[in-house]
Amino acid sequence: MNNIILLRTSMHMLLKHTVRSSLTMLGVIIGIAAIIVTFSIGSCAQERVREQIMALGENAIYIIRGNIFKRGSTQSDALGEAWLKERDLEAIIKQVPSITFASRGQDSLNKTEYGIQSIQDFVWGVDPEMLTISQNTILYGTFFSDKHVKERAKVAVLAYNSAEKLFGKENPVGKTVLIDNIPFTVIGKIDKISYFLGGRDPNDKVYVPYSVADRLFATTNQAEGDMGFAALKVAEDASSEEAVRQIRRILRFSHKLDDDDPDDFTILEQQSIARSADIASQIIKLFGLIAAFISLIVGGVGLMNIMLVSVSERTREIGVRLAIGATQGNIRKQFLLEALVLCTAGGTAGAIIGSVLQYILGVLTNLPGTIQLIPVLLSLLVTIAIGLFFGYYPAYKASILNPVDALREQ
Amino acid sequence: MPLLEAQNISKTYTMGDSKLEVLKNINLTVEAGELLAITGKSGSGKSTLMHILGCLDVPTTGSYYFDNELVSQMSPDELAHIRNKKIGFIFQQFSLLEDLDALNNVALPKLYGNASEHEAREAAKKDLELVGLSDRLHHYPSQLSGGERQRVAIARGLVNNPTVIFADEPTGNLDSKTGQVIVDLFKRLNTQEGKTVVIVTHDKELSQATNRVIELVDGHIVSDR
Repeated sequence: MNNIILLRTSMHMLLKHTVRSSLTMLGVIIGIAAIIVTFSIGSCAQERVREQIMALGENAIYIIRGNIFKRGSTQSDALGEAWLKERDLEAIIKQVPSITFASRGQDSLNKTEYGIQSIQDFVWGVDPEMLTISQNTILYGTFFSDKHVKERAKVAVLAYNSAEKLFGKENPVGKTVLIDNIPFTVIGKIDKISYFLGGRDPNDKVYVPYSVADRLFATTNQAEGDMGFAALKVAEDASSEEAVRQIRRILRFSHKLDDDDPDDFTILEQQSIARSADIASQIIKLFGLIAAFISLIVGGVGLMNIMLVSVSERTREIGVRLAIGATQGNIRKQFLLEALVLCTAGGTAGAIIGSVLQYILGVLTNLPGTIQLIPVLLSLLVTIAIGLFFGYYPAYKASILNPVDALREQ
Repeated sequence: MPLLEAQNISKTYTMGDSKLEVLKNINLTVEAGELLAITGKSGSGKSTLMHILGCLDVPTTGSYYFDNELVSQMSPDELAHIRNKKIGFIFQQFSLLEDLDALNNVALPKLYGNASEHEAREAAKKDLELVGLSDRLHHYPSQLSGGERQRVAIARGLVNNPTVIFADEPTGNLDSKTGQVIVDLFKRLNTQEGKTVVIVTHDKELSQATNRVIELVDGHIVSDR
């Protein structure tokens, strides 16, 4: 019996038993759909993180007082009395040649009011370079200048959410807000920052000149020249990791730390944060794929199980086929082809269901749902392999039946 | 040369420690063109003998020649080949495939013999005509009466133009009137088509319709007349 007739025989037998066939396919359908969905969601998440890396890009480094990673320490413990010094920053700028921009930083949590609206957001006292370092774009007005810093001008630039909360969609430039009951003139609003990797939303923030914050919002234990943080930008062609190493050495020296003392400051390098996030998303994708693959294997075992039941249910049919001259090869091929047809059909159905699910999830989660060809083709190949692997044993069992014993079966 | 020749064959089934000797030193020859019956009570070994003569099984000891070929040493696939080309089987339970219509049931042995689908269907049509079922080609077994089913099975047994037809209790599931039609059909195949027909039955009436009756008791041939 040639292969095409055998294939048609297999399809005929499967179509005559639709319930059994669809139950057999179910596991494979679910497995393949799961693989496609996890693959595409994983890829989308990864794509998102990549976009964020691109957006952060450009070698920004933040230095924060206190060691926020120090184990067992509460935040106030970690912060301690170890302030960053303005002269630390000067030393860094002098000794690390790859640094192109630097801003001092003074952060405090203050009440900002406009009319009856009030917000409790971070107030960041920074230098004008901060705009370049953070790569924010101005939506309305301008960022403050060196002149504002020098003259201690009471001007403020609002980040997107802070401006929205106080003014709605309205342009806030020219309005006066009260920060800690001190009037400030709003001179700019920053556009929405769409990328951010967890932590505090950078859209909730009020920027004022460093010199103003240093005078008005410094805490009582803060000495002259103490600052909360500093922001730096390294030249694009330079290694930010190398810069981080140099900064750390300078700070440890200036803070007179012994070799076994932990850092009393924290250096956050945006690129390495982004890279960790990228690795994390890859790991999540990998685990998702492993889980999906396991469900496919379970589907394969289910297929084998039902094929085995089918072989024992159809013993009489096998006996009749053997009696009228089917060879062992004919029987083996028939059952193997049945398994393959089921798997391929299940795989195709799974691919379609998976793609539809992925599209729906894409719409719901706002992740761009691109239907990718590679996972679909790959999972079809996998199903064929599963069909061959899990279909072979039942087919083999069917083929070695003794015709007399098989015929005796009712 | 005889068509079938069994020399001193025996068949023993082993179940755990106990051995069951179903056939004991059977010597038997059947010439081409004979119409014979193998009879005996249930458990006498008549079905086992038919399985061996029909190349469905091989003897434990002894030699069996089918059409001058020593089949007692053959591989399963070689046996399948002989069954396909030279033997037609008819079983008590009709043994049609429920998922195929009459035409495709009859065409199946042709397909296993590597005929094309067209060739197989044409041959099947011709044989269904021979057994008087040309108006039932596309009926499924469940849509046919017992007698019709058995005639489909006979057509299937004939489709590869075999030398021998083996029928295991062919009338066992039929009423006497329908059974008679089947018996007449076997007679016609024997006299008009020259087929060798071996019928296994415990039915006295059926065995008397044949030319030779072999009786088995406890795995021995006790009479051959």
